Amino acid sequence: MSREPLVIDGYLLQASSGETILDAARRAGVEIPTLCQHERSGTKGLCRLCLVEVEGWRRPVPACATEAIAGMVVHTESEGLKRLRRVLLELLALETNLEHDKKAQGLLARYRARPERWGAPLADRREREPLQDNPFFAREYDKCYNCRRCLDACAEGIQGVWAYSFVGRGNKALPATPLDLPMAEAGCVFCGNCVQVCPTGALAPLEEVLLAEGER
Amino acid sequence: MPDRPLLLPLLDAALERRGRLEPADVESAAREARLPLAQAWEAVNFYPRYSEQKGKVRFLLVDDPVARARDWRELNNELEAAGRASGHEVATVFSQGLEALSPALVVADGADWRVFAPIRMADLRALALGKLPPQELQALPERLAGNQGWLFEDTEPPDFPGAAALIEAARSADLRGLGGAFYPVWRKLAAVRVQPEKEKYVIVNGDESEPGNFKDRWLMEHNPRLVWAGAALAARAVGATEVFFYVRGEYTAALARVEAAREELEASGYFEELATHTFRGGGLYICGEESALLESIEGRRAEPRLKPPYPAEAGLFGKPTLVNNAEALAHLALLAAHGAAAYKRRKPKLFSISGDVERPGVYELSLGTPLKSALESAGADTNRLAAVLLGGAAGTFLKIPDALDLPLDLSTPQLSGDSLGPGALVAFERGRDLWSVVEGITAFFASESCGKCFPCSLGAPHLHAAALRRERGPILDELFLTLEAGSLCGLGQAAPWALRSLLQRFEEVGS
Amino acid sequence: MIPLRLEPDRVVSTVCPYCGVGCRVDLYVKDEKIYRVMAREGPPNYGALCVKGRFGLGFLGHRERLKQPLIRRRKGAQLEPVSWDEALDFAAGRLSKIAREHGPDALYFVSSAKASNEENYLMQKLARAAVGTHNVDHCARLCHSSSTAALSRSLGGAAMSNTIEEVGLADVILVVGSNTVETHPVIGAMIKKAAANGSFLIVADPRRTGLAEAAQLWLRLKPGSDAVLFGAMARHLVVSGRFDHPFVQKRVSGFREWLASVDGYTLDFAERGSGVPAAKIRQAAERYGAARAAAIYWAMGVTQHSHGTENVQSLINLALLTGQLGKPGSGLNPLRGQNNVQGAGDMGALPDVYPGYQKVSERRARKRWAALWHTRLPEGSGKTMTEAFESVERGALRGVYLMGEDPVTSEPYQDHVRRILDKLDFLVVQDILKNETFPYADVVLPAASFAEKHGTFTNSDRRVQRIRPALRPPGNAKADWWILSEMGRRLSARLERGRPQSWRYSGPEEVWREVRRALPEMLGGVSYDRLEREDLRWPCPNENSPGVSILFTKGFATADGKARMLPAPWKPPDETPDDAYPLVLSTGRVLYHWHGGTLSRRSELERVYPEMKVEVHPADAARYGVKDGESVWVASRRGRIQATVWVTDRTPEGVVFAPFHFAEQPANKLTLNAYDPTSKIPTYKYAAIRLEPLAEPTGES
Ligand SMILES: Cc1cc2nc3c(=O)[nH]c(=O)nc-3n(C[C@H](O)[C@H](O)[C@H](O)COP(=O)(O)O)c2cc1C
Ligand code: SF4
Ligand code: SF4
Repeated sequence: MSREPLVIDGYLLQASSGETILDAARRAGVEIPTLCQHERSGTKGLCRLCLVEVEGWRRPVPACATEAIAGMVVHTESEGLKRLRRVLLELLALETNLEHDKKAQGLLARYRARPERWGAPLADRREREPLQDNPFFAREYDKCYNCRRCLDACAEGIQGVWAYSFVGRGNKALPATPLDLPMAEAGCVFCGNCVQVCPTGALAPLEEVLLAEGER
Repeated sequence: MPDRPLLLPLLDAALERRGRLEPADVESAAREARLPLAQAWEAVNFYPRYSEQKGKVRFLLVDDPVARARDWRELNNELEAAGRASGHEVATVFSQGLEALSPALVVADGADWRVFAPIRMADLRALALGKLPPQELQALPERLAGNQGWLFEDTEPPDFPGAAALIEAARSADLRGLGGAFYPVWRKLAAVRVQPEKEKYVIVNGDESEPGNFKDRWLMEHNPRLVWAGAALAARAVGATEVFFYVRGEYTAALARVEAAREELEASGYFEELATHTFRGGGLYICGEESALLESIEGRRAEPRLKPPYPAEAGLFGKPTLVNNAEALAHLALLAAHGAAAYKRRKPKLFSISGDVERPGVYELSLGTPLKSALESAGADTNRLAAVLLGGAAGTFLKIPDALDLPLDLSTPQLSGDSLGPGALVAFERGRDLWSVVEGITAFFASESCGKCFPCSLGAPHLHAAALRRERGPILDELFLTLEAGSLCGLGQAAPWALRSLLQRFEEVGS
Repeated sequence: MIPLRLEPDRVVSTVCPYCGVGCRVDLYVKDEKIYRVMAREGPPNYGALCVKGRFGLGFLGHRERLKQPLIRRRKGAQLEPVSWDEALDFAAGRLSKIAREHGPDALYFVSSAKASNEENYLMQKLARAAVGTHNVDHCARLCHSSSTAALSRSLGGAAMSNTIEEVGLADVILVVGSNTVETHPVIGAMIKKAAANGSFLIVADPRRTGLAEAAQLWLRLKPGSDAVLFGAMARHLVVSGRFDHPFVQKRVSGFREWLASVDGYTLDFAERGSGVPAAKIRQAAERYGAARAAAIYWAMGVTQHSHGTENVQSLINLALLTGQLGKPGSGLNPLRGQNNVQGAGDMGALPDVYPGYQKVSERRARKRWAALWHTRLPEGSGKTMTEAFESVERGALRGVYLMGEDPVTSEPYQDHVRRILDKLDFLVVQDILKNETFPYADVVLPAASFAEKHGTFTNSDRRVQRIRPALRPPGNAKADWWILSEMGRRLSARLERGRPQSWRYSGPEEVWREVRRALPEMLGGVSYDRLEREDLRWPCPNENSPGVSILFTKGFATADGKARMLPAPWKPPDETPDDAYPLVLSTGRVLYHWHGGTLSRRSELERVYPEMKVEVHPADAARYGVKDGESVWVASRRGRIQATVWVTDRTPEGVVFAPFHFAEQPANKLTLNAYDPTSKIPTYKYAAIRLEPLAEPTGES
C-alpha cells in the first residue's frame, strides 16, 4: 500500500491509499463531527456535518466520502464550517426530538447551537406518533433525522432484506415499510440490525422503551 | 441494459390501465423488474403521478415567475372560488415550461392532464360553471420560435465524422454543456470513450424543470430529430450501445414527438446497431440532476449520488455513461453538419425569454449578445424594466438598467456571481412584485428538495419561510451559506441565489 | 454513542447462546433485567445479530426457570425440593450404585453443546475418570456427526477449515442443505452480501430458501440425492480435465479408487437421480472448478440422512479434487447448529475420543489421560447416544445423566424415546428450564444460564470466546461447572476412582487451565487473560501464537499428511413414498426458533412464530385437498402430529417441510428410526408421510 503525505489542521500525516479524510483525521486525533456515517451499514455523505475544506478545491467536501490524497491541505474547523455546522445542528434540533441522541447533544453544545433562532419547526417530524407494530422494537419517528442507516443496514449494508422503504420528499421524508405494511409482513426478519445502527433512538428495543417508561 | 424491464415504465403501464396504482400493481411491477418491493414502493412514493387517481379532478394553477409577478393572488382567489363552486380540489403546480404563455392552468384527472394557456380571469370564472377555458394546448405553438436559427431548422441528420474528428470539433468549437454547468462537451466525450467497458450509455437530459426555462421543451416538440442525431453521434463517438432520451414526465407532447422522431430515424437506419429508448421522466425537478436521473431510470428515488464516481466512470447500471443536455446534443449535430469553424463564428444558444416583453418565446442568439439587445429582440422596452431573472429559478435577479450591457456569454456573468444557467431571461417591469416571485422560487426549492441531504431538506423550507416573512437580516446569510456550501447537489446549493440577489441588489424593494 | 433511554447498571460482553456463529453481544442490564442487546463491532459477527440473539433472551427470566434442586425418592413419588447437598448425595448414591451393580457402562452421560467448554470437559471427565465409562455424547450426534466422521477420516480434522470472515473472499460459494439465512442468519446475510458483491453463489437445496432466491444458480435436488449430484460434478471435472492435478498428486490419496466409484455418475445419470437438469449440474461443476477460491458451506440437509457420511464425503471429494482447501476463501465449512457444538466435540464429549479428538482406542492417549486423571480408563469406545438409548430395553443401560438436553424433542421417533425414558432406573436432568424430559427425572438439578456464569464457548470457526455473567442465577440455580465438580468429587470418592480433591475447582478458569495443560498443541496459548484482549482460535499452541485461521495450508492431519478421497456411493432413500404415504417429510429449523424450542419458545420469539406450520407445495395442496391455514394431521407409519398448512412453493412438489421446534407437535414423532451406519446420525430429513384432514382421523395413531 502506498503511503502518501497530507496535512490536516496543520498535522502532517501519511494517508494510506483508499483511506477517507475522516479516517485519516481520526488517526491524527482530529475529531471531525459526523451524524449519518456508519461503517457497517455503509451510510455516508448525507448529514454534511463532516464537510471540510481542501485548499484549492472549489467546494467543501464530505470527509466521510472523500479519499485522502497526497498533497491535500485540509481544514476541518474553519469559521465558515463552524457556522455551517451550527446552523445545520440548529435546524436538526429544531425539527427533531433529539432527547436520546447524546452525540447530537454534544455537538449542539460544541457548536453553541441555539435552535430557537429559527422560530417554529416547519417539518411535521415532532408530531409523528410512535409506531408499535411488532413485539421486538419500537419505531418513534419523531426522533428520526433521516440518516438512513436503518435502511442501509436492512438492505445492501448488512441484512439483504429490504423491509424498509424511504418515503416522501424533502423535510417530509421518513423511513417506512413497503405498502405501509406492519414490519413482519414487510419481510422484516427482526434481526434488529436497524436498532443497532440507529443513532437517535428512533428505533429502540421494546424492552428498553417499556422499562424506561416504568411499565415493567 | 440488464435483461429485465425498467420499473417506471411498468408502473406507468399499470397506471394507464387502471387510472391509479393498487398495491398489487406495485407488487407485480417489482416482481417483473426484479427489484425489492421496498424499492418499488420508494419510487411510487417519490414520483408524484403514482399517487394520482383517475376520477379525481383537480384545478392546478401553474406557479411560475411570470404569473407570480403579476396577479398571482387574484388568480388564486378566482380559482379557489371556481373550485368551491364546482366541488373540485384546487392546488398549484410549479412551472410547466409555459412562461411564454403565462398564466396557465392544468385540469388534472388523476395523472391525465389538460393544459390551458394563457388563461384570463374570465376563464376561471367560467370554470366555476363547468366550462373549460378555450385555449387548450398540447405543444408550444410554433410561433414561439422568436427568430431564425440553426436550432429551428430541420437539419438532415449528419453522417458520423469519426470519433476523433467529432471530439476535436467539439473541442475547437468550445462546445459546452447547456444544462447549466457549461462543462466542455469534448472532455466528457473523451472520458467516456476511454472507458474499457463493453456496455456504455448515452443519456439525453430533457428533464427541463427549472422555472423560467422552456427551450428544451421547444426543441423536443419541434426539432427532436436534431437532438436524436446529436445523441446518436455522441453514442458512436464514445462507443455506447444504448441511448435513453429522458423527457420531462409532464411534457406529454414532447414525449410523443421525441418517440415519433426516434421511430422515424430508426426506420431510416440512422441508428444502425444502437438501441434507443424514449424514457418518461419522473416528473420532478431533481430528476434533471444527472445522477438522480440515472437513479430514476434504474427505478429508485431520483436522488443525486455522491460523486465521485462520476457518470462517465460509473453511471447507468454502474456503466460508463455520457449525460448531456438535449440542446447540447443538438449542438453536437449542428457541429457535425456545419463544421467547427462555421459553428464557432455563429456561437448559437437558445434563450427562453419571458415576462414583460412584447414577444415571449425561444430565441437563438449568439453567445455574447448584450442583455439589452437580447431583451429587445423579444420586443422589450428596456426603459420600463426594473429587473431580469437570469438563468431561471436557480438564477439571480439582475438590476436594470445597471446590467443592460452585460454580455450573455458563459463566463462574464460569473464575475458578478451570476450565470446564464440554461438560458432563461424573465423580464420584470417596474412595479412587479419581486418578493412574490421569490416566494414562488423558494417554495419551489422547498417542495422539490429530494430529502437526501440534511442542509437542503431542512434548510430549503426555512428559506421559504424567511421569504414569506420578507425577512432581511444577518441570520439569512448563515442560512444561505449552509445551503450553498452544505448541500449535496445543485438544487440545494442554488436555492438561495434568487433571494440573495434580491436582497443585495434591490434594497428598495419593500418587505 | 448508543441512544439509550436508560443508563445501564452494567454492560456485559459475552456470547449469544443460540447458534454456532457465536456472535459477540453486549448485554445492557438494569435492575437485573437485560433491556438491550448490542452486537460487538468485530469478529465474528461484525456488528450484526439475528432475532434470536437480539430479542430472544426472554427465557432467562421465564417462570419455568428451574430454581431449586428436586428429587424423586422412589418411582411414582412426587419430585420434592431439597438442598443441594441432599440432591447431589442422592444422585451420586444412585449413580454409583448402578455403576457398582451393573458396571460403569450401564450409565450414560449426555453433555451439552449449549454448555461451556469447561463444562463439557468436566462432563466427559465425570464419565471417564469418575465413573470409568466412555458412554458420553452430546447432541451433535443429531446434527453433524456425519460431518465429523467424514472430515476426520479424510482430513484428520472435524471443524470448519476456513473462517466466517473469509466469506467475502470466495469467488464461488456453494451452499448445500443449509437454510443459512434462517439457521445461521448472520452468516446467511454475509453470503447474500458476497453474492450481491459479485461472488457466484450456488445453492443446492430442495427448498426455495432465502439463499436459493439470492443465488445465481439454484440446484433444486431431490432430498437425499447429494452424493450422486456432487459425485457427478466431481466426475465431470475429471473427465473434462478441469481438476487440480498437482494438488491431487501431491496432497491427496485414494483418487483412483474414488474415480472408479463414480464411474457411472454421468451428468444424465445424476439428472435422473437428483432431478437437477444436467446442464445446471455441469454449470455448477464448471463454475466451482474454475474458481480461484471456492468455499463450501453445508448443514443438516446434507448430514441428517442415513447416508449422511457419504453425502459429506461427496463434498470433501469435490473440494479435494479442485484443490479448494488450505487457501483463503476456500474450504469445507460445516455450519454448526448450537453455539458450543464445536467446543463440546473439542472437549471430548464424544464416546470415541478424549478431548482434542484423541482416539479412545489408542493406547498412548489412554495412558496419557489415565496419568492426568490418576485412574484407569476403559479401552473400547463408548456407545453413541442413539445406540445407547436403543439398549435400554435390553437392560444394558440403566441410568442417564442429562445436562441441557431434551431427548424427547430432539431425538427422532418420539414415542419410542418416551418409552425408553420410562424404562430407566435413574434419570438426572440438569437444565435451566423445565422441558419435555422433566417428567421422567429422578433428580432435577437447576442450572445457571449462559448469562449467569463464566466460561468459554468455541464457535463454528474454532474461535474460543469468553462468556461472562450479566445476571445472578435465579433461586438456587448453580453453574453447570459447579454442579459437575460437586458430582465428580462425590462419584470419585464413592467409586474410588482418581482423586476426589482433583474435582475442587476455584472456578471455570481453573478448569480451563487443566484443559490447556492437557491439550497444549490445541489450546495451550488460549488463556483467559489473552481472551480479554485478543480474538483467538485454535490451534493456538502458546502465548505468542495468534491462532490459526485457515487449516491444512501445508499438510492434512492424517498419518501421511495427505487427505483421503473415499468412495461416496449414492444410495436410494430407506423409505420411499408409496400409495399409502405418498409424500416425503423433511424436518428442519426456522428463523424464530431454535432446536427443541426450549429457549426460543420461552421468549418473545414465540409471539411471531407461535404455531407449527408445515410447508406444502401448491400442487400437493390441490392434489390432497388441503388449504392454506387449514389444520391437518401429518401422519407417517410411526405416528402423527397436528399442524397448520402453509401452501408455498418454497418446498418442492412431493415434499412437506416441518420445523422440529414444537414439543407439543413433535415432527420427530414421524421420522424414521434409521441411522447412518458410520456416524449413527438419525434420518431427520426423510420419511414417507401423508396429510389427513383433522375431522376423520385414520391410520395408526
Ligand atoms: C436540481 C438539478 C436539476 C437539473 N436539471 C437539468 C435538466 O433538466 N436538464 C439538464 O440538461 N440538466 C439539468 N441539470 C444539470 C445536470 O445535472 C447535468 O449537469 C447536465 O445534464 C449535463 O449536461 P450538459 O453538460 O450538457 O449540461 C440539473 C442539475 C441539478 C442540480
Ligand atoms: S430510524 Fe434511526 S437509523 Fe433510521 S433514519 Fe431514522 S435516525 Fe436514522
Ligand atoms: S441538495 Fe436537496 S435535492 Fe440535492 S441531494 Fe440534497 S436534499 Fe436532495
